[in-house]
Amino acid sequence: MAAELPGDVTRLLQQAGAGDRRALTALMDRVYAELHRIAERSMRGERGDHTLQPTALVNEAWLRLVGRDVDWESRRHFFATAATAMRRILVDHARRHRAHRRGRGARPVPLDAAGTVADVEQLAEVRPDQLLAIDEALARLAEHDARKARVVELRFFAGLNHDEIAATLGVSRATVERDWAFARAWLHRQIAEPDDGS
Amino acid sequence: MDPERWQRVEELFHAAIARPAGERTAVVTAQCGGDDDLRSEVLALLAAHVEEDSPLDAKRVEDELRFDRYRVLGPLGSGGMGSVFLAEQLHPIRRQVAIKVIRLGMDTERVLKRFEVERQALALMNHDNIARVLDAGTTARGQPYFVMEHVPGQPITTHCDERRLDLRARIAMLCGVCAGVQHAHQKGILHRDLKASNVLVATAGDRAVPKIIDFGLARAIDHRELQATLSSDREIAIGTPEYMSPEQASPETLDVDTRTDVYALGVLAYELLTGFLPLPSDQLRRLPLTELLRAIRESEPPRPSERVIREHPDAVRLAAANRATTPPALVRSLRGELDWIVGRATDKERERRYATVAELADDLRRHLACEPVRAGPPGAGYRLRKLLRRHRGQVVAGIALLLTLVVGLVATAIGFTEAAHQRNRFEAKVQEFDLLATIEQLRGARVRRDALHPAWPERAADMRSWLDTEARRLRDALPELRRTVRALSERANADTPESEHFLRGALTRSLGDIEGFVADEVPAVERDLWWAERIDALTRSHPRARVSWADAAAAIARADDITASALYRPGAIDLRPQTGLVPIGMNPVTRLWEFYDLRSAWDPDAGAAPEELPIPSHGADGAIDVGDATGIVLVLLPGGTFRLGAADDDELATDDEYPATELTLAPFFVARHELTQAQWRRLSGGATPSAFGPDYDTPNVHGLTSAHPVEQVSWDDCDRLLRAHGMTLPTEAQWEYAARAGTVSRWWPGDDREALRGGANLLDRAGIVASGNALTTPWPEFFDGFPVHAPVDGLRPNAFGLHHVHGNVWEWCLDPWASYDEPLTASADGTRGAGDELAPRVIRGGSFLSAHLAARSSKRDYAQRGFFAEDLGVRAARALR
Repeated sequence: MAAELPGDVTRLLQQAGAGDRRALTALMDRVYAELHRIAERSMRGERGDHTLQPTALVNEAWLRLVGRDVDWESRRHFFATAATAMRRILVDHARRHRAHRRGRGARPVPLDAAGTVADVEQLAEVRPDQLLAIDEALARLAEHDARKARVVELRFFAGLNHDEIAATLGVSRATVERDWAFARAWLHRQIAEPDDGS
Repeated sequence: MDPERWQRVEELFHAAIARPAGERTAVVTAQCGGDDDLRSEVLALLAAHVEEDSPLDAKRVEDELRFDRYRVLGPLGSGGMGSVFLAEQLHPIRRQVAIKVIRLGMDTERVLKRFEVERQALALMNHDNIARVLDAGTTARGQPYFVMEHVPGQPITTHCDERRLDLRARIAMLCGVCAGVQHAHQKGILHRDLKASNVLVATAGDRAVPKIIDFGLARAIDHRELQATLSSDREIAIGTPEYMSPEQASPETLDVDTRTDVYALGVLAYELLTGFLPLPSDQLRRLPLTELLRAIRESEPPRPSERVIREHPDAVRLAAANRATTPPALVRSLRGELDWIVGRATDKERERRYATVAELADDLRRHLACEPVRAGPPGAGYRLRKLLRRHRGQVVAGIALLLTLVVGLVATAIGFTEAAHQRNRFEAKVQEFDLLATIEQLRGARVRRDALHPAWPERAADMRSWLDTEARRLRDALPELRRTVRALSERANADTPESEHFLRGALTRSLGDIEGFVADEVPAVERDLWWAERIDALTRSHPRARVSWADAAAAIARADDITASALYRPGAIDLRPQTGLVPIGMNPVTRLWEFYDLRSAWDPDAGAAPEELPIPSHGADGAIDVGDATGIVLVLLPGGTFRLGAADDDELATDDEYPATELTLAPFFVARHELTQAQWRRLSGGATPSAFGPDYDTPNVHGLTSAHPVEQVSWDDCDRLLRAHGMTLPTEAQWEYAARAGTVSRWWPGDDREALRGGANLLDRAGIVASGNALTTPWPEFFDGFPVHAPVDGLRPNAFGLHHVHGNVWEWCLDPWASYDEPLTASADGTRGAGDELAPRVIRGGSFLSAHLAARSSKRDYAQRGFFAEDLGVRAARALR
C-alpha cells in the first residue's frame, strides 16, 4: 500500500468503484475531512464576507489526495463524492453564517439571474440564506426524483459538466440535459414560492 | 404530489419546451384536458424555465429572433459564444451575411455598449484578409447578435490539409493572415480569440484568401463574464484554451496587447506547420480549470520539429502526407528557422515575443526568401527563466534545485562563450576565466559543507580543512570573476550581441552567488568550528548547570522512583554525556529526567556567550517556563512497550489506524514542547517562516510571541534543520508512544472528549470568531480561548511532561506514510515504510484548526514532504547515544 500512496484515497476510489460500501463511507470521510481542512485554511485569517470557491477547493483536495493520473472511473468517483462533501461543507458554513445575520429577511435566490442557474463559482457569492434555500429545495427534489437532485448537486458543487455527469450517473447526456432543465425550473419555482408545488 | 402526477408534469414540461415559446401554452392547455391544477403547475414550471444554450434551429430563430433587415436562411454552426446563421440582408443592399447570436446569459446591454466602443474602429477596417463586422443588435428575446460578412469557406487548417498544401504554401497563407491582423492592429483593434476556426479560407477560382472572422467580438464579449455565467462548459468559459496566451490565463494580468495576438498566430503557425497543437486538446481539456490555466502559463510544448518526432508515427505520416512530404523531410524543414520563429512567437514571456505581427510576418517572409531570420535559438537566460518558471511554486526543492539551476545556467553560458569565440566576438578575458570549474567548486564546497553537520568535535578537523582549502579557493577566485564582469559591463553597448548579454547576466549572477557564499556561508562554518571546539567542555561542565552528568547517570541507573522514574529500570540506561546537552534535572512530577539543548538557546548574534546561557529549572509543579530565549528541553523517555494504533472498539478511528500492534521502543529523547519560532530562528540563522508570530496583530489575534510554535515549515525543512544539529524528527511510533505516555485511551486524558479541556488547543469559538465565523466544528461547546496556536508551554502536559501533543499544531514525523500492514524496518525506533523517498510523510496530533477527532493519539494523517501550513509544525527528537 505504501507504494500506492498518496493512494489511500486511490485505493478507496477503486474499492468504492467496485461497490464496496465501507470504502465509500471511508472515502466520503476522507474527502470531507480534506475539503474541510482546505476550506478552513482558505478562510483562516480573512474576515467579514469571505467566500468559498467550491471548484478550487475540490481541485485542491484532488491534488492533495490523489494528485496523479488515475483512471476516469476513479476520477469521476472522486468528484461525485466531493460534490456531496462540498454541499455539506457549504451548508454547514451557511448555517453558521446565518446565525449571525438573522433578521435581515430572506431574499429570493438568483437562480436564473444570468440565464443559467447559479453555477459553482457563483455559488461562492450566494448568500447563506439563499444557499440553505437551495439545499432544502434540493432535499425536497430528491424525495421526488433522486437522480435529478444528483444532477444538480454534481453540477453545483463539483462543477462537473453534462458529459461528466452523464458518465458519473451512467445515463445519456440527453437525459442529463432533460433532468437539468426540469430540475432547474422546479427548483426555481420552489425557491420563489417555497410553500407551493410539492 | 404522487409519482404518477410528477411524471405527468415532467412529460408535459418536456413536450412543451420542445416547442417554440409562442406555442407552449396552447400545447399544455390542450394536453391537460381541463385539469387546471396540472395546467397551472406545468405553466409555472415553464415560466421558471430558462432556455438552455443548445444550438437554435433556424425555424426557432425566425420565430423568436426578429431581425429587422435580415432573413434567416439556415444555421451555419454553433460555437462557444452562440450560434451562427446564414442570413440574407435585404437593405440597403441585398447580400448574404453571417449572423452570430450570442447565447443567453450575457449582459446584453454591456455587450452592446462595449461593441459600440469598438464599432467605429471596426468600421475603419477594410482589408482583404478580414471579414467585416457590419452590424450588431438585440433580438426580441434580448440576445445580442452580430452581423458579419459571410465567408463561404473552410477553416484554414482544413483547407490546407484537404489540398495537401506544402509548408511554403502554408507559410504564404499565414503571411496573409498576419497582414490582416497587422492591419487591425494599426487601427487599434485586437482580435483576442484568433484560432484556426476563426480564419476561413474563401476560394474564388484559383485564388484562396484567408479571412479572419469575429474581429473585435472578443472584446465586446468579455470571457470573464462568460465565465461567471456558463461554467458548466469550461472550454467556453475561458475562451479557446489551445490558443490562449499565458497572460490571458493569468489571474494577475488584466491587460492584453498586440503580443497576445502574436501568440495566437504562433500557435496557428505551429498547427499549420506540424499538424499538432502546442498543447494537445485532449490533455488540456481533461484538466480542471485552475490546472488548465496553469498548464497554459507553464507547460512548455516541444519545438515543432521535436513535436513531429515525438508524435505517434501514424499521425506523423498523415501530417507529412497532408504537407506533400515525408516525415523525415518534414522534420528537416521545421528544424532551425521555423522552430525559432514559432518559438519566438509563442514565448511564454511576451517581452520575448515578436513585438508586432509585422515582425513575425517579416521573419516568415525572410524564411521564404531564404534570408536569415531574426529569431534565433533560445539563449541561456531564456532557458534559465524556463526552468525557473517550471519550478516556481515548488518551495520544497530548495537549495539542491537552485544549485542545479546555477550549474546548468553556467554550463549553457559556457556553450555561448564557445560559440561567441568562434565568431571572434570575445576577447581573451572571458576565455581565460574558467568559470565552469569555479561553479563546480562552489557546488562541491556546499555539498561537503552539508556533511560537516552537526557541528560536533569529531568534525572540527574536517571543518578546518574545508575552510583552508575549499572556502579559500573560492574566495581567491572572486577578484578575477569581478574583473571579468566589469570588463563585460564596460564594453556593453547597443550593438552588443544578445548572447553576450546572457553571458554577462550569468556571470553576474554567479558572482553574486559566490560573494554571498563568502560573506554568509563561510562565516557560518567558522562559527560552527568555534562551537565544535567548545561544545565538549560546555556539555561536561556548563558553568550554570545545577546537576552533573555523573549525578544524572547515577540517578537514572538507580531508577528508584525517588531520584528517577522506575520506568527507566528495564532498559538499565547507562547514560553518558550527550554532546550539546546539559542535564536540567528530574521533573518532580513525571520523575523523568530532562535535558537542555544548548545550541537552540544560543543566539550567535545576540552577544551572550554559550557559557553564560541560563539553564532552566523545574518549578514545584514540574513546569518549565518557555520564553523567547529558551532552548529545546528534551525529555529522556524510557524504553517501553505500547500499543501503536487505535483500540478495537474506537468508532472514531479510521482504517489506517489498524491493525494496532504491540511495539517495544528503545529509550530516546523527545522535546517537551513543539519547536518554537525563536528556536527555529537560532538554529537556522534565518527568519521564522511562521504565519502567526509577534508581528501578527489583529483585534482577534494578538499578543503572540516567539515562544509560539514554528509553523509553515515543510518536512524537508525540519528534517534538514534537526539533523544539522544532532537531532531528528520522531518516528511515528515514537510520537504515538510519547503522546500516549502510558495510556491506551483516545486522548491521553481519557476516552471522553470533555477530558481534553485545559490539555488541548483545538478549533473552538475563539478560532471560529477569528476566522470571521467561517469555520465549523462538530464540538461547538469546546472552548480553549486560543484563536490560533498557543505558547508551546500553554496547556497541561501529559504523564511524560509533554505539552500539546493533542492540537496546537500538527507535528511532522520521520516516516513515509505506510500502512500498519507493512513490516517495521527498524524495531528500536519503530521506523516503517523506508525506501520511498518521495512518499508523503506522516503528520500527527491535530491542530488549532482541527476538531477533537483529528487530535486523537492514534490519528494518522500525511502531507507531501514540501507541504507547509500555518497549523503544521514540529517536535524535535534525539537518539540516545
